[in-house]
Amino acid sequence: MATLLAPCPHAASDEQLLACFASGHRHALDELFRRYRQPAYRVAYRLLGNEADALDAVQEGFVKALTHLHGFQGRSSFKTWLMRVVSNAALDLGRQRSRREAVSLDAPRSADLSDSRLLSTDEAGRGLERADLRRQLDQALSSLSEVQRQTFVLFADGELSYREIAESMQTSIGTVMSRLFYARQKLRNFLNQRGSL
Amino acid sequence: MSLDRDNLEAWLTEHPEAKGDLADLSDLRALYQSVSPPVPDEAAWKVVFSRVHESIARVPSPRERSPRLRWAIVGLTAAAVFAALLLTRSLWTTSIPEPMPLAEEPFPVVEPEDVIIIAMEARDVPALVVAEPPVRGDLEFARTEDIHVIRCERCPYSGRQARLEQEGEVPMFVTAAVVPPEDE
Repeated sequence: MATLLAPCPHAASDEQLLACFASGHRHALDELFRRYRQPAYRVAYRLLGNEADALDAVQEGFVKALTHLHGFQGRSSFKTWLMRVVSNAALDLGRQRSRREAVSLDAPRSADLSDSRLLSTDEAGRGLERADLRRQLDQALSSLSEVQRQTFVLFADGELSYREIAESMQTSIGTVMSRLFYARQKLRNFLNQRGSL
Repeated sequence: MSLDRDNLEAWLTEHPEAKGDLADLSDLRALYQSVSPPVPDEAAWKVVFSRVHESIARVPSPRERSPRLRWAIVGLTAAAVFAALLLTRSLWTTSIPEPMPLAEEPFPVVEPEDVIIIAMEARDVPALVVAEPPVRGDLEFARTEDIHVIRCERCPYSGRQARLEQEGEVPMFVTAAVVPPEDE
């Protein structure tokens, strides 16, 4: 016997989309993925340093976030919940692939170089400058402890507020501010020493 | 969100020295955002999405489980519990067992890097734990004779002068206000 599902609103909120998804509207997944794939990818990329691993982390993050919705319980926004799961998945993946990550941080990334080879000389120069700056910023990030790095990435790339980061990491706002304060100090010192600022 | 902003602005009014830190943090965020990661092409996104879709489709939702399967799970669970009770019957005793002490779980309050020790009393030094516990190796503190004060200037803001106390078990630097000599 076929079951008729109630239509899902066109411009639905995250909560409505999650309700639609729970009641069997698989296309709600398309919309949630389209909305949050970019910020999730930015967070994962910043924690892992390469595209392939970041896409793996995004995939794992979306699957875990949507199959463990009982852990979410609507206490925070879906974005906050997703960023938490994606950043944890990225850190897990980073630990598993730490040897490969160490090599990629020391050597120029092949993706960056191949991008620049497709451009004109001026554009390639600018591309290399950006790639170099990106590499230095990634190295600066890797000088932070894991919790400081996760906090700063959720702030800078996940664009979460202090409160959202606190909810996401299940800690207090004061601890978030403290971690950001020390992360800022370490990043400044690292980048000043390298002459990047 | 506006409540957060109001609280933050009120706090910044009371702590104007923190405004620079906050602006610096915003600058750093802008710097990181200006060098965004390379964007994956649409084909890569399609692959990721199809994998997400497949993985989620493999996990049956509670709605999708048949009532027969649900009853089977309930029945098997009940049978397992009953069997476990019968098997452990020989272990049943009439005496009331001593209550087991509750296992203490560490309650994470702050991370190690969140803590900075600014000052402490000399008598508390033996209680000081340095580095990640368990501490590897012995801790060796400086002895009184290890310290030689070459030069010590007065604090230009407070006017206080530090001096080395060598009488206790551990050497300590203490500060005291310098009393100007009375005119005779």
